[in-house]
Amino acid sequence: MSISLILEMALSATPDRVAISSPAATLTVRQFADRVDAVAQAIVEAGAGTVAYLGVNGPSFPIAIFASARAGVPVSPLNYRLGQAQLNAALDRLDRPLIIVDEALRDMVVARSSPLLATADLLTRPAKPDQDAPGWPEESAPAVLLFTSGTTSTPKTVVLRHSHLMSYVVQTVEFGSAEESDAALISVPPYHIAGVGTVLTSLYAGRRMVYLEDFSAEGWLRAARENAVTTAMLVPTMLARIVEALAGRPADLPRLRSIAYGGARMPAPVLLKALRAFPTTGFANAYGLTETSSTIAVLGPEDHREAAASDDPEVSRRLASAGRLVPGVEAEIRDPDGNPLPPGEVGELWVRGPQVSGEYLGQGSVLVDGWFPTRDRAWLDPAGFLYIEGRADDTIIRGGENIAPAEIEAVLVEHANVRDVAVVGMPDDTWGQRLIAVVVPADGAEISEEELRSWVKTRLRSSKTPDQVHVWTELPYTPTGKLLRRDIVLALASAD
Amino acid sequence: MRVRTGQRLQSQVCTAEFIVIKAPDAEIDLTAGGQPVVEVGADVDQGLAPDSAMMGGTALGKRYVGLSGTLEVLVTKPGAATLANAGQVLQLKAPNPLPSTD
Repeated sequence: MSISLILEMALSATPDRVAISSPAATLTVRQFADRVDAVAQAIVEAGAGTVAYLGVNGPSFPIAIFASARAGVPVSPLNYRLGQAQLNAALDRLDRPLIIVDEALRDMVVARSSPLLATADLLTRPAKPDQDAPGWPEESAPAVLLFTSGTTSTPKTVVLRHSHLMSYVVQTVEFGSAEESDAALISVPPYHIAGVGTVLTSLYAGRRMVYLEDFSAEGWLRAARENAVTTAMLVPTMLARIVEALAGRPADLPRLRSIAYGGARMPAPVLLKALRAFPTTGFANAYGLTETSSTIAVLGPEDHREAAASDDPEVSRRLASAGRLVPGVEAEIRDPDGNPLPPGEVGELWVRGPQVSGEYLGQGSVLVDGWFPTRDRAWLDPAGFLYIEGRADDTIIRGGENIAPAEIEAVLVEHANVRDVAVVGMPDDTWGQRLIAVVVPADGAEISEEELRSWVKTRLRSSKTPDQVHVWTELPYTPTGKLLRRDIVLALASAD
Repeated sequence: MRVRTGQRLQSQVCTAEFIVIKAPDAEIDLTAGGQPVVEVGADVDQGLAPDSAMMGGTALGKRYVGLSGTLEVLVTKPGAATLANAGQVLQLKAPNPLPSTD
């Protein structure tokens, strides 16, 4: 069951439907399949063991994904924002890479002996007739190699096999379920698991893919309007920027049926503003990891509406939940000894299912009886709603007590004077670690350390009250919306 | 026959092809149009006559389930035959109501 099957089925069902539209190219499913065949030939000819994709968003990326599958080699989308040394270190991990590269990034890799192919050429390269098509890749063959963001540790290369990705697609998407007028606006970069997932699920559903090359709030709103977009996925920092650009105005996108958000924690005030700015759009919170082939839990539009309208705290708090598990995925919350915990108790989230890989290049599988330790601290409510508290590595230990920074951040960000906040632990002789809140003030607001401390103290408890408050103009995020806590700690340490 | 997840199978009496999504840990008797299915690429017996009562059709992209949900297949090429296990017609699985999340 290889991902090539998706294209084969789409070609048989809707060959003349537009698969991709972007300023660079508009391709029907049939035209797309022709591009895939031509590029697959090039990959085979180059004798590549891997296809490395180094480029911004665009129609060449889905071509590269399916052409790699057709050629029987994995594709590895690389972060084009990496420095030259990091980029080449990543390339060194890949087997005989053919590098598909944007013209603007060519200088980064030109010194290598690897064969290069320009991303623009993928759209024009002619297919050679009478060439034998390669066979089907085995379902156990690697399909995609993705580098983790490495915000808490050295980046690892996750191996996603055809079977993992196909399980995800088949379990979560109904084939051909999209209307011909449906269109997904893609603004997450190729090197993010959602950027890979959307290519597979959109083609499988029969949904047109609209590519936004570089994210800006205005550009996103314009592209959504001009392309009559019906669905979109955003990381929280992107949604925050869109809501800010709207400045209280409604987005006026009546065609936009759903916005999915995920990839990092969503601050409650941003979500509430977004719900107001997009009154006719359903929201879905998607939780997943690279290692789980994208989404494993979803809080759907109906859950959002129900939670937003409910007076029952058990229901209304679900706005902060990651929703329920998708079909085929099981979850357990476990204590540090690996024992399952009952609903309501916080521990490490372990997951199992056919879409769960848990395998890293050069390191092998970390699965235990099929179970993958996510390193996320989480709990489940009795109705099966999953709540993510944050990365286990972010846990602060103050005076022997485990403290999840997310809990304090969620309280602080509700304060009118706070636009954004991060809580980190710094070494402390008395407490082991002390709590530092780094706060970005709302426009024109004055931050009072005492006021914020008592704001937290009255809502949580004194052991969770920040020992100090620092005021910064902005917080460091990756372009995919992950907070760089390590950078904050380093900056605070060097200022001490 | 025994089937395994990911295995591609085809009907011997029509164009239908499908892939095993869930495989029971047991011998099964999977048929299309009343005749045994075979692995894609295997020899097809052209002389087999379909059972006319088992020619309701299978639709592209649909999932069919049997054996209390322990057997599930996805149709990758449509055909005229009905899928059945030991005479029990496989049931169309209800569409997935999940929203698009990526």
